[in-house]
Amino acid sequence: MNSQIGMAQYLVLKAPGVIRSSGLGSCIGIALYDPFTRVGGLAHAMLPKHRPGRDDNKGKYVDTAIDAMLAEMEAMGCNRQNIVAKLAGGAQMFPEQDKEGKVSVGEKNVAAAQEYLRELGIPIVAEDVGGHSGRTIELYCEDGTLYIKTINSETKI
Amino acid sequence: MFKKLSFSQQDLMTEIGTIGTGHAATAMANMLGKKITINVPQVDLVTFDHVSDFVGGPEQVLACVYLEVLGDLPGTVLVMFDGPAANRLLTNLNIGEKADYLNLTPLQESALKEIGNILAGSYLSALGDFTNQRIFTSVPNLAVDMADAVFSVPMIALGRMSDYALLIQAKFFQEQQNTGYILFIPTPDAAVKLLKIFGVDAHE
Repeated sequence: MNSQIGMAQYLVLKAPGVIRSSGLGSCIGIALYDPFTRVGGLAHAMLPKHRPGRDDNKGKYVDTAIDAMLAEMEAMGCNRQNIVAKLAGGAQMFPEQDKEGKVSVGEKNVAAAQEYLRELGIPIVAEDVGGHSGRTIELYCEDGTLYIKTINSETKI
Repeated sequence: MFKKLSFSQQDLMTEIGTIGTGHAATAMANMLGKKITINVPQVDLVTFDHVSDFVGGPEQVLACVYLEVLGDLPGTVLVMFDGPAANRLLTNLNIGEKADYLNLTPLQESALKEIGNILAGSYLSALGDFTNQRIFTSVPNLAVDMADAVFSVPMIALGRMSDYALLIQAKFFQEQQNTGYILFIPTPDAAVKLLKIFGVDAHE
């Protein structure tokens, strides 16, 4: 099963599922994976933190997307202590414009994900973040590999 | 904020797109010395996973000039060219020996930014005159990358206010060949203001 998610969406699948998200720019891709149950979740989050009292789409924010994926993964039998994370994205697409103050929105998304995962005690085992290129990512729930493609390179973490 | 457009809201936004795109097309025709045609602008109110449908999907590689719209009707203008269109445009304007959109020279980069600036400027000055609003833009910025990656920047700004993006989008053609896209993405507040200016109910 090969499933696509777009901006501000997330999805949790069992092996042999593959979750793909295209064209992450300043958004951040958060992959959660439990190697024991081989259940994986991928989010394409746009902003660091939800604002309380707003009934927004959960996939839009780093914190609510992580919470939502964890809840689904636990409902599918994952133990939170086994879950690890990988991050990709958070690029600065437009060198002069894409920033607020000195920090780009991409960097803010990366920092928010790192901080929230640390708070939850979920280790980040690999990351490919920052830079100036968009990324297309694929999470293989078979083994937790995250494939990353830009318009001129390919890698896996 | 709105989740669906009524017929009259859709009509008004299409009209706004037509006026802006018409002027931008004239500017492009003057620049190239060739006849440029446009389609009827397409107005979509979409969730963030559908923002790049019009330009060929999330992975379509585009040369994108991004301008922030400031003043009375804030938002974003994106002027976008797919690879072949960017190459043809630079070749037609005789900028650099050979144009390769994936390896642009600094001169070609500034040419694309300037072209984007001129097209967006004509679009917005027409819109400003038509609505009697004061509009100006940031300096143009360029990225050559996948559509969703470049869209992420204006969508993140919009995401703070809404789960939806209002896209007023049009295509330029030269003898049936696609020569580029121009998109105006007003903020939700600017969209409501536009509706009010023309007496269209914002809460239908």
